Amino acid sequence: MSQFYLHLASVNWALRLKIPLSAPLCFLVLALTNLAVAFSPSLQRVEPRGGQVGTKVQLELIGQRLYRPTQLLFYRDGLQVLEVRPGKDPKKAFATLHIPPQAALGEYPFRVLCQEGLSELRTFWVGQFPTIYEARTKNGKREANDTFATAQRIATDVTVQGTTQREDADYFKLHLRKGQRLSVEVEGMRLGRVMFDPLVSILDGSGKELARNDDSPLLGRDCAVSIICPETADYVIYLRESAFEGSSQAQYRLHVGHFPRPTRMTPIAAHAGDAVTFTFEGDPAGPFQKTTVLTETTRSVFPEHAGYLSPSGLPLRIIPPHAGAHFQGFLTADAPVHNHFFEGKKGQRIAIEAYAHRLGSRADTSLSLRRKGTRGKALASNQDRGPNQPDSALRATLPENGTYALTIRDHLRRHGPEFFYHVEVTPDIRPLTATVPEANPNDTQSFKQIQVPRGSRIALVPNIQRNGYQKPLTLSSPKLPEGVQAIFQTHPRQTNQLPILFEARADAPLSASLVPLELRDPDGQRTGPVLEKIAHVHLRNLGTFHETTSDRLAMAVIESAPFSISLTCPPVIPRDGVLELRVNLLRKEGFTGRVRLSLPWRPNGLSAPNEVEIPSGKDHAFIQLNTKSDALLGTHQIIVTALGETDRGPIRLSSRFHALTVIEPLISARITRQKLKVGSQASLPIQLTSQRGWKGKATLTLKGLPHGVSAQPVHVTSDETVAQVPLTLSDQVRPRLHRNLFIEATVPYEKGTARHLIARGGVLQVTRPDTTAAR
Amino acid sequence: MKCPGNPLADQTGPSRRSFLHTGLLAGLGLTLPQMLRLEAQAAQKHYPTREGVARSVIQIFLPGGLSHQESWDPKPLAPADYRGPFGTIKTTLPGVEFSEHLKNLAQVADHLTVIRSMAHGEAAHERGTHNLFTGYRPSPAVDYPSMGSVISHELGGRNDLPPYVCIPTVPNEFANSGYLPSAHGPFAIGSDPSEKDFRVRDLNMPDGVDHARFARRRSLLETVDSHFRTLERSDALDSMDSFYQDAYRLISSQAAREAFNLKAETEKTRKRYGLNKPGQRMLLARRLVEAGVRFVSLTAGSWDHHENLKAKVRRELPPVDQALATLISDLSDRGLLDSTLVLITSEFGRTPKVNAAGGRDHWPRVFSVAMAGGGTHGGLIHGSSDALGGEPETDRVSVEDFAKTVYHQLGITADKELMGPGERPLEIVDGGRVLTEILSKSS
Repeated sequence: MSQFYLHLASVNWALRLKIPLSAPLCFLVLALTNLAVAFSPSLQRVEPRGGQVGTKVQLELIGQRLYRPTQLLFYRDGLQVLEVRPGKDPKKAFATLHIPPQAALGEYPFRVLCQEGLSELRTFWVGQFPTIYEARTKNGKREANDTFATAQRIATDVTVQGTTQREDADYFKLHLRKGQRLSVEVEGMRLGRVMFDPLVSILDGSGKELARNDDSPLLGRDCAVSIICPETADYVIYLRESAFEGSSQAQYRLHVGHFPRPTRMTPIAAHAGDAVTFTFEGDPAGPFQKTTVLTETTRSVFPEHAGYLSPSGLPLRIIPPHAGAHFQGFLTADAPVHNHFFEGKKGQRIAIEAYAHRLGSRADTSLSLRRKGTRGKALASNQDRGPNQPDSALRATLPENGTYALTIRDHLRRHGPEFFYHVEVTPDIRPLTATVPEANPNDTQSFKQIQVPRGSRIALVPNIQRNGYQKPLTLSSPKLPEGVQAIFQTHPRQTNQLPILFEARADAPLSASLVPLELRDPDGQRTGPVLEKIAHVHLRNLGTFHETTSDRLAMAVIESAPFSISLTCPPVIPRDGVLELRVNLLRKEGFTGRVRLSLPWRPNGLSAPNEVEIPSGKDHAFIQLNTKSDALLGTHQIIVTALGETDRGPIRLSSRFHALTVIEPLISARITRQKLKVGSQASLPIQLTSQRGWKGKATLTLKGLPHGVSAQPVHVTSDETVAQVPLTLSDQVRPRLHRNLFIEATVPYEKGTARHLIARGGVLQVTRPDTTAAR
Repeated sequence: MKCPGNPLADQTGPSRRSFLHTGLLAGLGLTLPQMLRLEAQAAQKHYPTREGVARSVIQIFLPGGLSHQESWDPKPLAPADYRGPFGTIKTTLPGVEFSEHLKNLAQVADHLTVIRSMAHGEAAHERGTHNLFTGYRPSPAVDYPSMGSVISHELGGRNDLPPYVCIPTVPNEFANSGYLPSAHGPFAIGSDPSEKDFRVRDLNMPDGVDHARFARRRSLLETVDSHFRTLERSDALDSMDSFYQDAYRLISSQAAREAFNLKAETEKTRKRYGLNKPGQRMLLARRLVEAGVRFVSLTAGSWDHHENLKAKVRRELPPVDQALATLISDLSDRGLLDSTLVLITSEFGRTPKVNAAGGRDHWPRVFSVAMAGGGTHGGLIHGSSDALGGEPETDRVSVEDFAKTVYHQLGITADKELMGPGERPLEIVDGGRVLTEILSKSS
């Protein structure tokens, strides 16, 4: 009978008991092994999707490998985590939250921290009303509110959590008095699960539609609608997916109440520190005002009227201190094109940016800049600042002192009360930013969290948006978790990737925190954040429908990994060269799984396969590196990241930095075209066009030979200018032009060798024995 | 107020068409369009269709765009990020290697003609597919017929079997009859041969209906149709009649129906092909051509590998390799390979360089197709791509060349004109040449 061994690693990987087991117990072995610890916990769903201020909420966290949960890592202050506890199986964990009465309404992104990793980012929503659920039939298998006649009776001032299935419509009925305000707002796409475009209508008791909304400039694909009740009667709220699609993942939170739901606000931009009185319009109850003191972090203002808050705020632009001129306005029928004037100086570099779509306006702005009083071609103009970014932005260097006219209009010359804009003229200081890269085009969450195994390290390679800034850059990270250090170099100006290694001591405490990383030039004059962007709903070619962005990165110290890797390779690779990078895998006892290797970044001009595998049971693999003829010269710190498939889930770690220097080629050559006959022996001359910096003998091997032609390697010294390669052509060689010959030249260099692939495109002309010309 | 009515409906008063009819030509009993049609017919290039070397075609289409580097045209000497994740395997042809997952096809390489220099300029799936199915670049003005439909039109059916069969369904809109009468459209099996309870749709009598009752029903239907036809003339009606006739022949012929019966094959044979979709589809294709079907079209796998090409090719290619190699060996063993042209095509190839997601993207500038039997040379690699698999290096082959060669082997002169829409004669293939250098027997 085969024997199995039980590995108990509940607290420390190093602690193991080996107990012989019989085959029938193998399922138990697996179960017990998994009960211990697991890497890469996964959080798929959170129930409920939100809670009411001033209450406690029991959260159900649903996913995979949720062993030993210890903490919820919220990206936003305001909520208190009272308890986190595991479920009966690793597919569930539970948490108790307290939502203080003063907590801000809206979205709270978070991750679950387990001892072996951080989960994906999911969201929890805070509202002002108690949550109730969409009604179901007695057996719980179907929804009970799918027709007008079976509308679910609800009270006002509630939040309904429900689901819209395919071809499903949900009806809710409530009784209201004449003159009362009935407002509804739906959080659907914003819940960030799937592509879900909700549509909502308010119907009267006979089914006649009183108001409807599908999309809203303020809420994107989500919707809101508000009416003043024309009479005392029953009213029905009708909710569905706009194209009758939907699925079990198409969840919504429907807020129903007397709250205000204005569609615009004045002003839409203000300075931090000011006490600003905002006027809200578009609400069926008429305009109203609210005064708020703004801070640098204010991003929206919640309309408040008659004791009620809107479920979501209206976006606000905080005008930066360095902004010069700034203008706001409404595009109206009388004035669909606005001109604003500002003074400028010769040589002044300015940036002008419009804020409209981003602030909930319907305007698709178009900007143009001219000298005041001139016509003809504009100094600069812009329609959209980027794909799926309809707000305009332009940069210009002013040609002379004087007054400049900035013209702004809607791209289609539309106008109306909801066509408002704010525009800023600032010095052209291009911001530096970087983002955590997408590891998987189909999964925006993949490897966004930085998980550092104890006693090991993990690489992060942010993508830098330099915006024209060409100086070298570096990173700083002042608040790393205890026991973690960051290792990085100043980065050369030519590249937009900046590798960093986060390394944890073997005794670093298991913990997690949100870590700000700052991109800066060596002088510290220009700085910018490294951003973590999670696109919750993203469709290729259509863009992102809901995302969360943070300027702090989730970082955790996790249990040590059952393996480590190290690199061995020659220190030098020439341009047009090749090198075998050996990756050594040190397996700890019990780890037999395969490991997949990749280079998280490559210097310009150096290429490598996307992935190389070390199969189960093997302890090394080679990654072939190639350089192009214009590869970036100099010493580069390369890294290899390994993804190990353990029985406790996948875990990633990286090698240390390994210095690799790209040098100019030590040798170059040209293959002289020759006519050779089938079945002959001949010599192929190789012109050695340049050789430098080496001694001894180099080996030249002819590659890419056609079938039936063989050649022996030849050895040359750096003094030689021609090498003769003896060739043997068998009778099987096809008489024709054979292209694609090249030479692999192994040249002694310092203490090792440098392999070159040179003389590409060499031609061999093979002719028939009895003719002189090939076909 | 008067409703203008449907402009397409019959209108009162003389129309432009009736005016033409009342003119000079009325004396001849011809309308101008009729006369133009006759003129066009007289000017049409016409060649008699003869018996070809190939009597049947099995078209195996690998939808999505098979990577030529990971199949017929590996680049073992290219840098690793061009070479891809796989090694090569030697074939029975000296000096010729295929990618490592074509190990079975490597053993029958002496039957194969691989064209490594196929090229067209269409990087979109639908356009590339159109090219390979019709031999034409897509046109907004003309709905071209597929090769199967042209062969059905030119050669007709045999042994009560439909001339053009798709397994399991019509793979795309370009596999249809185009401007030819719909009667030349494909007969789709309707269900996958790899399914346990595989049964060809509509091939048997409805339950409880015997031959006598079926004949009565047919007679009744013909009476109704005959009455209907006196009221309306259209191609669709004629085609429908043709469909019925074909269907009657098929249903009433035991031998024809037996061609579709995969259960008649031994378990050993079925396993040899592979108990999976490619295997059972190709086995059914062999049965059909053996029974007399002219053109069998089937698809295998899905090859649009923009990401993680390594795992996907490793999963999908071996069953296709096994089935294809078995099909070719089986046809050869049965003496059918000389008369059956097997085409293994895809709409395009993949980019020379592996992308950041570990996949390759669309690349129509060079790719590979393979052929076997039907008078092709066998044991031949025709043309070549450059060192990175990015451009044809020698003997570029166009879609027109390829289509013309296929038609040629079936005895169809592809320069022949068929009557297209608007009474416009259109060549079966416009341009191109017969690749005589890949043929050992020519029609």
